[in-house]
Amino acid sequence: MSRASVRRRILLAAAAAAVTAALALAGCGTSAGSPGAANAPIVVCGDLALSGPYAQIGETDNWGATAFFKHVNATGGILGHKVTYIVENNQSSASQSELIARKCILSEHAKFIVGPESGADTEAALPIAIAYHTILISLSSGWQTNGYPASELTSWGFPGFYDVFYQDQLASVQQLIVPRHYTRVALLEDNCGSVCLANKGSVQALAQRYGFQLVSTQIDQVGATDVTPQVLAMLAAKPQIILFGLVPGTDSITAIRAIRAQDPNIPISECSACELPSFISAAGGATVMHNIYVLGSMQDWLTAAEQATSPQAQATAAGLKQYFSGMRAAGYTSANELDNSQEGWDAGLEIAWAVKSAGALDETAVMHKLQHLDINTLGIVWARTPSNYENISQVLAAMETINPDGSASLFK
Amino acid sequence: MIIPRGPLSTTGLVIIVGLVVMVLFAQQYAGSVFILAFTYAIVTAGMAVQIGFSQQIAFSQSVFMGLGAYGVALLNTHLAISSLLAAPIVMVASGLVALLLGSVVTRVSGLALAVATIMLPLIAVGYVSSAGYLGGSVGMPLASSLWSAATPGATVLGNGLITVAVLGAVVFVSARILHSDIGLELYVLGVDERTAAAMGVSTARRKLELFVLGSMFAALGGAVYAGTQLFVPATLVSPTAELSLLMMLFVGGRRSILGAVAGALAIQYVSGASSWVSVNILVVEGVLITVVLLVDPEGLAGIAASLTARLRRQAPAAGVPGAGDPAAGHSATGHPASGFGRSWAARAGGAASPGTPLVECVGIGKDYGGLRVLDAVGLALPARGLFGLCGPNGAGKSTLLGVIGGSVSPSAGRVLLDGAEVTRLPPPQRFHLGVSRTFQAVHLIGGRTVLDNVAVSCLRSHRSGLAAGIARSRLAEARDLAMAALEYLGMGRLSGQEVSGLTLENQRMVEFARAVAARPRLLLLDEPSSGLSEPQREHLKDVLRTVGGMTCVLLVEHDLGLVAQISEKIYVLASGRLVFEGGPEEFRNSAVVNSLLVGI
Repeated sequence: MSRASVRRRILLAAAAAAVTAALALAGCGTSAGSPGAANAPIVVCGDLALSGPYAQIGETDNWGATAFFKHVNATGGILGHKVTYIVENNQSSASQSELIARKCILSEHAKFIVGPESGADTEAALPIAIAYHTILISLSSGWQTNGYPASELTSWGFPGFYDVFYQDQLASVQQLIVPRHYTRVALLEDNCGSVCLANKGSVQALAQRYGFQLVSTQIDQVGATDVTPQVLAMLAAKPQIILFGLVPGTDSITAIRAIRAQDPNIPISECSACELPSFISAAGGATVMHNIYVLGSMQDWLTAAEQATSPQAQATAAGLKQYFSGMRAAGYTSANELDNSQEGWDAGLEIAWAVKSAGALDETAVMHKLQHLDINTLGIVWARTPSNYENISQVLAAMETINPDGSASLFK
Repeated sequence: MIIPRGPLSTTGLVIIVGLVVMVLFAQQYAGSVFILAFTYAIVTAGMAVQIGFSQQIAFSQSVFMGLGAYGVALLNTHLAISSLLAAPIVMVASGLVALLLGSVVTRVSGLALAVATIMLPLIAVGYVSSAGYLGGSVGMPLASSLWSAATPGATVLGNGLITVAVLGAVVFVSARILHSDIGLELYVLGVDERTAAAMGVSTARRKLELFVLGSMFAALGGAVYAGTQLFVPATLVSPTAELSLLMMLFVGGRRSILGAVAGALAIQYVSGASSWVSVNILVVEGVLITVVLLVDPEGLAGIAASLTARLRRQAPAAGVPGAGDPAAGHSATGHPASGFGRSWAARAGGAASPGTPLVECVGIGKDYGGLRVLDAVGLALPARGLFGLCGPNGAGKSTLLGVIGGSVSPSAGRVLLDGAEVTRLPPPQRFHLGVSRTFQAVHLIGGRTVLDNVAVSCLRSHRSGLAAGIARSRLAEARDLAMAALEYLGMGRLSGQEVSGLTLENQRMVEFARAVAARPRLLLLDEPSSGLSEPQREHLKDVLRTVGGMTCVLLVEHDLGLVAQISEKIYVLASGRLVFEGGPEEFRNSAVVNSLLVGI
């Protein structure tokens, strides 16, 4: 056999192998049925981090979304359509998030994408959703502060969750700084990116509005194991309260230990995920947690909502009861599952509300409804406009303190 | 299956596969998976040249990929330059950055180079995560892709075809280099930098060129990434991204361009293959790389090559000389009258200046800390003749050979070659002046044939830039010269054998042939008879006598009988000092020599 002939055969064989591999890959995505059929299921695709740095958040988001769509299917579906919920792992990676968005649209024929979780991963998936006119409900905390291009902020992608940091700061102002007439406030934020660094702007805006002074802002690194220099610098400015703008983790623990070593009583608020026994133990025990205000659990959130009398609080209570019922029905009964799956459930709530409001599955009609979202998603009261997708009118959440025995109690 | 080897067939295969995949699957999810895979393959193809083939392991690919991606994003968003136009601009700029950085880090090699660059991804990700103008930790979006069309599907197809074209170009350039005479230099550099230097390879220059080339390809890959994904995440430059690139390279096959491309495709395929795989991606990748490397350290390319070899073995093949036969392949001893012999004699004799010693060592001293290895050693050798250098272990013989060859810098004294001082010249430059050598332990290039091992010393690419290897390969010329040398030494029938399969005797002869093939004016031989059988020693003796008639040979040897039989003058070192010099008769009868070397 001549060399030229051998080469031709090689090229043909290799090309055939490549086509076979490509065919196999193309067949990997399983279509959930024709989207055009009258009662065809609505495909919702989770572009979620089930591995990597955001896996903990991605997993709880998945629990919430799974439970919500099970609840929807058990109660007749949406406009008579059952929901097929598919989850794909974006591995906490921007490039994978982008690919998963394409897979959801092109292979799964999804009408809605839920996720991703982080600002970067969402930014990677957003152009795909926009290009293919597919609604994407992001689970990234923060929207306007993420640095997305203006054209993407008010298009086919929507913030499924509000700025959790802003909620923390607002709760601290309304429940501690204003009632106690504090005038000197310090802020410790970590460098998790623009979302965390936006804390300073938020607090400065609140300071102007509520008449206090931000006397010191310090920044540490996510996961830092020594923030003593930042703590000393903050305390040197003589604050009456320290606000946290930290992603839950090691630096929260380190900061509390460093602050308490200098001042055993200064109030600290609002510490996220700090009510966990493991956190309290790592921070130095329940005594150290004295005068530290933490974001309340979902159960305490429900208790607070039931105690209040406003229509919004009652709506929140009703929504939370449905959430607990749906989660338990889906088999999610542990404290962790019940306390942390709200975002995924909320994303489902948005989708269901928008489709029902539009009265049809038409993408554009549903998108327009989402642009005017006006519902209470478990305590977050939206007032979305086409020019501001993140606008909320109110946040109804619980604040807790830690008891000497390590348990948490509702504050006020 | 037969693996295509030539640059054109390799490139043709990649382009055909890429086009088929794009045309068939651009409108599907699979098309997007392959575009990302081809993007990474642009980077890994460059890595195959730099890291795999030449073993210059630098953890800088993700950094330059990020440089390319962010560069395109900046030009696209701030200066409204199209991504397609921005890509070459960024690639050239990255090359300049690589030149600056590489001129520092490539002063070291191997593990030291890896350590010198290991912090780069950490520094880079720390910087871009906090740089507001780059979008911080969220990343940076682009305004337009490489190719923008009216529909998303047409845009994906356009981007895919551009990506395939860029990958094809990178594969062609990489394969062209590896198949050229410079490619052989790079291979030797990767296996044994000391040997490469001794055979005239400008190792510092080649390492810098490799760093720049790999960095430019990585930047090009980054530019394509930005232009096809429309977004640059900060994680693109992270250590995790660097590890992913390395995993693609090693799964595919670090020393194969096709392997590097296949590795990128395999890893991306695995990532996108199924939900289960996606959820367990880290475990799957870990198992994949472990299994592949356990089966064959050369990755998928190695496995494919092994299968090919097995298939070939099943077919009847022409017999080859037995590797265990001491006389295998040595059909004749060198003849000065042969073409090779005549050209060697002309070169060796033509350059010599009448009345001036060819090589002269004046007051050579060498200290290692407080230990004096050589002390005021002086010798002068003429243009032709065979000279012995003896001494007990630790006397400084190999060190003196290193001083003359340039691999050891003397603490004192001067080395003159043809009357000109060469004391500070590095080994490659001395090689070009006609100094060639063998080593005490055999330093052959495993994985290559006898012919290629010998051709290393016949390369004319030593003074050419890497780009010359793309334009024109002179490997065939080098192989012709090497074949002439092998035939001159009666070793022609060994030329096609892989050197690892040879006996130690034949390996020593191949190393000797490599030193001889350069037609040196000064041949430095470090214990060439070590490990040889008696017939081999006799053969070596004949060869050395012939060679000594054409050129100057300095022979370090423990076989005193052999030295006395063939040398016209013998030097004896003891504790770094020259304690004897004289003819064979004086050598045999010297009380000093007998006391030191024979123990009488």
